[in-house]
Amino acid sequence: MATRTVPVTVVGGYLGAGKTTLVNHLLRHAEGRRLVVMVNDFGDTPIDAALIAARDGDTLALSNGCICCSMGGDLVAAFDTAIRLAQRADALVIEASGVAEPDRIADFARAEPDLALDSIVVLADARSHARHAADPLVGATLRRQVAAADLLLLNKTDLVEPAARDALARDLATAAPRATLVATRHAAVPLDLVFGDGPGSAFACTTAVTPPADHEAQFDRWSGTGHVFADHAALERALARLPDGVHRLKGFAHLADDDSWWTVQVVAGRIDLAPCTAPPALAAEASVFVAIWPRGMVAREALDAALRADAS
Amino acid sequence: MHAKTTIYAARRIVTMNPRQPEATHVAVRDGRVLAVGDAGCADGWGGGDIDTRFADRVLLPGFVEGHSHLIAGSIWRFVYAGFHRRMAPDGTIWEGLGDTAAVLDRLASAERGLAPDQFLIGWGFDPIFLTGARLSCRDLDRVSATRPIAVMHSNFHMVTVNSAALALAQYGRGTSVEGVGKDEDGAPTGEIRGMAAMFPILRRLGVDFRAMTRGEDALLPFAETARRCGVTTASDLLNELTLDEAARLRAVADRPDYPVRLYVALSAHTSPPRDIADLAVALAPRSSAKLRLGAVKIVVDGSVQAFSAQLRWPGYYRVPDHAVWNMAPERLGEAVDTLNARGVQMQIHTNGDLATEVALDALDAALARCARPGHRHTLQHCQIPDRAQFQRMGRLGIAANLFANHVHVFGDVHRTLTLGPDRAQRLASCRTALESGVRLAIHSDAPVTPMGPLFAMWCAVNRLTASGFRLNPAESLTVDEALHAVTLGAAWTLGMEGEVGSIETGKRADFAVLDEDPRAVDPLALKDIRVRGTVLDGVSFADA
Ligand SMILES: [Zn+2]
Repeated sequence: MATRTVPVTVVGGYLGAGKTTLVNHLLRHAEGRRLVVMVNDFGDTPIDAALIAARDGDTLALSNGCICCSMGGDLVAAFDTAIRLAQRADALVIEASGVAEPDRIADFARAEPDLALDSIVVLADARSHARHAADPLVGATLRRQVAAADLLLLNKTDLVEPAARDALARDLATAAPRATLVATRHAAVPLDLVFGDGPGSAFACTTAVTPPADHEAQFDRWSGTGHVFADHAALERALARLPDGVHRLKGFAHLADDDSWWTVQVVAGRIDLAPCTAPPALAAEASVFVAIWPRGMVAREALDAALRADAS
Repeated sequence: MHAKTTIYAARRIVTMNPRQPEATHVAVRDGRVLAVGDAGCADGWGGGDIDTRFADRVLLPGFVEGHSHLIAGSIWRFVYAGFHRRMAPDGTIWEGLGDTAAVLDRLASAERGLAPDQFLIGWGFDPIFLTGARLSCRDLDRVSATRPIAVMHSNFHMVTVNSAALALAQYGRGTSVEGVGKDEDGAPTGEIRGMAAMFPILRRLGVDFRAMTRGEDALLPFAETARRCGVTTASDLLNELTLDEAARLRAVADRPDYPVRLYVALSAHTSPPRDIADLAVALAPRSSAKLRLGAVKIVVDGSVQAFSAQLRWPGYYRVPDHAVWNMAPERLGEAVDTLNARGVQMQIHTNGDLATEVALDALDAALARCARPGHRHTLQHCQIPDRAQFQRMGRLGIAANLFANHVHVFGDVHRTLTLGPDRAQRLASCRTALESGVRLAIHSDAPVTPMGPLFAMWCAVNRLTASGFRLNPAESLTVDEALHAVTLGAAWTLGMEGEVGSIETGKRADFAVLDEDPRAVDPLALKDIRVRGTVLDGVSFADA
């Protein structure tokens, strides 16, 4: 069995919502991340021909170090292959089928000790979502897809009137109260919104941020250090106080009582803490965090204060 | 110079040829039926050697199993722990287990025969039929506290495991994974539900369902399973075939000593419709007399007993609705249209009546765009359609392969829990299908229920549930109709009725060898008729 826990990102949404476009966006902007992408079938994923280095049956090796494998029909066999491939990769991305429930796919990552769920990204087509959600055949499936999202991308917003977009955004916010909602065109989002990258690489990524693109203007980032936590309970209280709207916060926390270190991952309100064996070089003494959220959703001072309120 | 002619004499030959329903002799040459009649039937062809080995037996056309899976053979590498009596490919009868204690006894005796590093894996377990407390992790720990044990349930969507297996998956009190059962104290019960939660365990126990459909280890026991119940043509409905895999299959199937003809349907779920159509069209000419390729299987919804079938109003009776689409209805339309236009036969799994409706919409549109009178598209399971849906199938020439065994195995559950008494009446409504002009087959879906056309006939004729309730006898088939459904009817759904399914000149000399004529026994005894094996291509694979 594998020895490394691979972070998993599940990409869901109905047919035509832009799942494949997002996967291609992630592959094109991988920036040194080695991704293993499990897709329903290659026919649906027009992966840039220039990126493809080699093909071997059900897997495609890309020139940037990423790998695509086909989910095929047998989910168990596909997961087994993907886990094997992902042992040398930074993350596993699973593009679910248009009628799959991303939460059920995420269950594989929650159950399997060699995998860890990073986040569930669901796309909604701004033009057709309302119509499909009301469809007697697939409406219930669509509503369950949306409800499972950590990050909900309202895609193709350039193709609808602002008023229609805003009305749909309000509906989606009700349907997925926990999710971070972001309007996108061509599913273009910064990769640090999608990937936690695991604690080890957290800071490497912030130092090599993707050059600000058009979509970058929509997001606020924050980094902070010097937070002190008396004990584990104090850390939990601090994280529970985080203001709504912080999509992702990650970092290393230092506990004063036993001088222990913990990795912290928060995605759309889901908190993950794990003891960390060796304190990272970057975080010399005090805790260190980075966070990202859609522009204007969170006041930096409020975030900083939430983490400091328990400081001793 | 003639090839050798063998004339098999039998107590009776039931031919299924309506113009010559019975005979006493059948002459075989070059693997085909040369003549049917009395001892002199082949005199004009130069006669032949009379073979009297079946003189006390009844010969029927070899049965056709239109919906089974190759895993029905290889699953027997695990220990059978089910409620119903079953026969293993090696002929061993495994009695049904009526309570938890009996299940534990069987596991314990299997455990004693294992090497120290082997896992103990059971299959076919079905707690809904058992009396007494539910099988738990603690029970299995008494079989072994150290050796990982996993007992797969009959639906393959659940497994009960011991502590050693829980530890392999790192499941414990702290686990909050959907499907990992907990007792009121928060400790795992050992029951693991759903593919996701089962995955870490199955993976570590080396259970690989796809591998269990490949190679001789799968093909040989599958053929034995078929042979022992009189089946000479059997299907594998859902195979992730490639051209290479097809060549490997054929290398085994074409051997003269391989005792069954295979019909293998390509899964439509691995590539876009156009690629699937290309592959199916490329596979078709690689067929042989023993291996039929070129058809495609599409799975539309889940199953009624897992609450995942797509039902029309009024939905599920007393259980939650977990309906799923295995293929989006929109995609189904595209796939059906593409495959039909390319002349590819489709075997379409629909359980719920909503899935059936969506499949019929897709087929109706595809056939309106490209009429193919000989299409042979077939709905599989098709559990509770109403008469109007059957009539629509009749009009479109769509066949039905109905799950007769389901009436017996799950009929009670569907009456009381999933469907309620009204719609449960429609389960396997064979008579309505025939009245609507629908070509009919009945099937086992082995290993879901045991392969056995005589058992399927018994189910379709008597419609007795496991508790002994007669479920809507108005839908019962006559024995003759049921016999047709497991021979020519099933052959028609595979497009093979010109080669198999009856004993007539020119057809493959494929026979089932029985002790009794099914038409001559009490219908309640149909399932108890002893099967002595088969003849395939004129060669006897019957027990001595
Ligand atoms: Zn099946």
